[in-house]
Amino acid sequence: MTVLSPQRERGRMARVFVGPTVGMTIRRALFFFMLFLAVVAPWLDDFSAWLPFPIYDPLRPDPFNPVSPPTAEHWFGTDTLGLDVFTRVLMATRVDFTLALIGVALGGGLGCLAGAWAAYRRGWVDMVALRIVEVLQSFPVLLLGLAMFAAFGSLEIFGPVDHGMAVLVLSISMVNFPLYLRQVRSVLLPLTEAEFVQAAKCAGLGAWGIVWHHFIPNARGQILALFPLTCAYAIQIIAGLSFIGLGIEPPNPEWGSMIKAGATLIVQGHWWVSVFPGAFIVLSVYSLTGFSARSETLVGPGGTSA
Amino acid sequence: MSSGPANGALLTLSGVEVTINTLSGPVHPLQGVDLEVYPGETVGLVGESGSGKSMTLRSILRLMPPGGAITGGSVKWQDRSVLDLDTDELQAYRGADVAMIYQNPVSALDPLLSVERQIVDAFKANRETSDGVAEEFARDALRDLEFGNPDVILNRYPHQLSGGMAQRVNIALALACGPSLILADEPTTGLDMTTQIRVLDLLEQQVHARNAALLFISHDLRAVSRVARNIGIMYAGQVVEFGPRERILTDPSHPYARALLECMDLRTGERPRSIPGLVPRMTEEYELCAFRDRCPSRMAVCDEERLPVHELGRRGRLLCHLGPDHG
Repeated sequence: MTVLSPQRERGRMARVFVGPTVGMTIRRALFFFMLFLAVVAPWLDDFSAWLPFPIYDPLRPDPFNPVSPPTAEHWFGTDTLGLDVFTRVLMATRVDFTLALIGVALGGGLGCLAGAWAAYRRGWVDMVALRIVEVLQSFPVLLLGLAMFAAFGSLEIFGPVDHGMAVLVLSISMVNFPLYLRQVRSVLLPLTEAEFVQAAKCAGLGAWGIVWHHFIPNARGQILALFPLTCAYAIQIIAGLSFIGLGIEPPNPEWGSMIKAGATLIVQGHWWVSVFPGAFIVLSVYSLTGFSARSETLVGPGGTSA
Repeated sequence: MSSGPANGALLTLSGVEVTINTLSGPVHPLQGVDLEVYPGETVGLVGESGSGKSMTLRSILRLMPPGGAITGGSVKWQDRSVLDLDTDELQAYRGADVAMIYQNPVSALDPLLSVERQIVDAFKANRETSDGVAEEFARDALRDLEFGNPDVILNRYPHQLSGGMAQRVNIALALACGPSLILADEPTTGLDMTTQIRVLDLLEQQVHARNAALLFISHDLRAVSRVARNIGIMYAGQVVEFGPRERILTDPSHPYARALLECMDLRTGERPRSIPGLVPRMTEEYELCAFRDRCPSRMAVCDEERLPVHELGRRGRLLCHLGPDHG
C-alpha cells in the first residue's frame, strides 16, 4: 500500500512529457517545440541576431523578391507578395493553436457540464440534451462553419474581438460541445446509481455539488483523453474554413489561407508556398496524437502500478 | 395503524408503503411500516433479505430506486412531513438531520477523491465554514475513530483502505454532517468478525458522544443486539414486533421472532435450524398476515381477519392475532 509522496507527484509531471512509448515521447517533444515557437513567435524579431534562421515581418511585402524558392535568406521561400513563408508559418502556429484551444475549451467545457448534468438528471433533461446533440452532429462540420459565418457574417456583436476569429471559435465550440456532452454523459450514466453518489446525496450535497465534486472528476480521464484529439480536429477545421476563405482573412498568417494562396502556384512548380503550411498542419495534428492514449494514467488515483 | 402526533419523537413512520414498478410488474417492498425513533436512542431493525429493511431507510431519506415511489403512509421528522419537503428543504434535511452509513464501505466512497476531500465536502455541505475548520474536524474525527495516524489516512484514496478502515471513514463522513439521526445499513456485513465488533463499538460510542440517535439495520440479530436498545423485527415489509432489547431477545411474542431466535440459538450444539416454508414474495400485497403459511401457531382467525396492532407499553408493538400474553 503506497501513499502519495512528493516523488510520485514529480513522476506525474514527468509523465506529461514522457509518453508510454518512444514514438509518443517524440511526438510530445515535437508538440512542445511547436508550442514554444508559437508562444515566442512575436518576439523572435527582437532576437534575430541569435537565431539560426532569418526572421521577417509577416505582413510586410517584399516586391523585389516574389515567389522565391527556399534559400538561406528565406528558409521556406516567399509567396507572390514576397512575404516570408517561414515567418508566416510560425506566426500561424500561434493563431491556429490559440483558436483551437479556446474553441475546444469553450465548447468542451460547456459540453462536459451539460453531459454531467444530463447524466445526473436523466429524464427529460437527458432527452433534450441528446436531441440538441443529434441536431448539431447531423450537420457536416464544414457546413456548420459555413452556416455560422452566414448567420454572423454581418453582425458586429463581438466588439473589439476580430470578427472572423470569434466566429471560428464559435464554430469550433459548436462542433466540440456535442462530442464532449455525449462522451461525458455516457461515462457518467452508471454513476447515478453508484453508492457513493447516493451517499453524497445523503450527506446533503445538492445536485450541482454532486455534479461538480463527484461527476466531473470521474469523467476526468475521458475528458483528458478526448482533449488532444479534439484540438487536432479543431486545427483541421480552422485550416479548412480558412482555405475556403472564412475566418482568418489574408494577409493575416494562417495555415489554411496560406495553402489557398499557394494552391494556384503549385501547378507552376512553386510548391513551397503551400507545402510548408500544409506540413505544419500535419505535424501539429500528428504531434497531438502523442497525448491521445492513456491520458487517464496522468490523473488516476495514486498507488496503482501504472 | 397508528398515526398520532409525534410525541417528542425525532422520526415517525406510520403505515409507510413503497411500490416499485419493474418490467415484470409492481413490487411492494414496504407494506405499512410503523416505527418511531426518539432523540439519542439506538434502534435496531432485524429481518431477512427482502423484508424491507433497506427500503425503510431509503424511504426515510426519500431516496427511491428507479421506478420506486412512496405510495402510502407518512414519514415525519419531528413535526414536519418529509414527504412534503421541496428539493431545497430535502437537501437540507439529508445530512444535517439524517445521515447514512452504507453497507459496502468502499463503494460508498468516491474512488477518485481523497479521504480528506470527501469528509471536507460533507462537512461543508451542511454548514457555512472554511476549509481549515473542516480539515481540523476531519483530523479529529479520524482520531476519535482510532486511526493512529490521521494525516496519512486523510491523503489516501478509497482503494488504499481496508474494509474496516473504509467503514470507519464512512462513519466519519456521516458524523461530519452533524446529524441528529444516523441510519446504518448493515454497516458491518462486509467485514470480518473481529473488525465487525470494533466498528460497531466505535459507531455506538461516537453516536452517543454526539447525542445522536442511531437506526441500525442488519440481518444479524447479534450485531443489532450489541448496539440497539430497542429492536424491531421486520417481515414482509412490516415491523411485526417492536420492543426493548431485553424482551425481544428473551421473550418475543411474534412466532417469527421466536423462530428467528431459535435459529440463532447455538448453545444446543445441533445444526442451525431454518424456518420451514418459503420467504414471502413481495410482488404480492398481503391483506392478511404474511407469515401465516410458515407459522406454527396458525389459527382460523389468521385466514379471515386483518392483523391487529397490540401496543405493549410505551415502546412496544406487536402485529399478530396471538396477542402478547400467549404461551
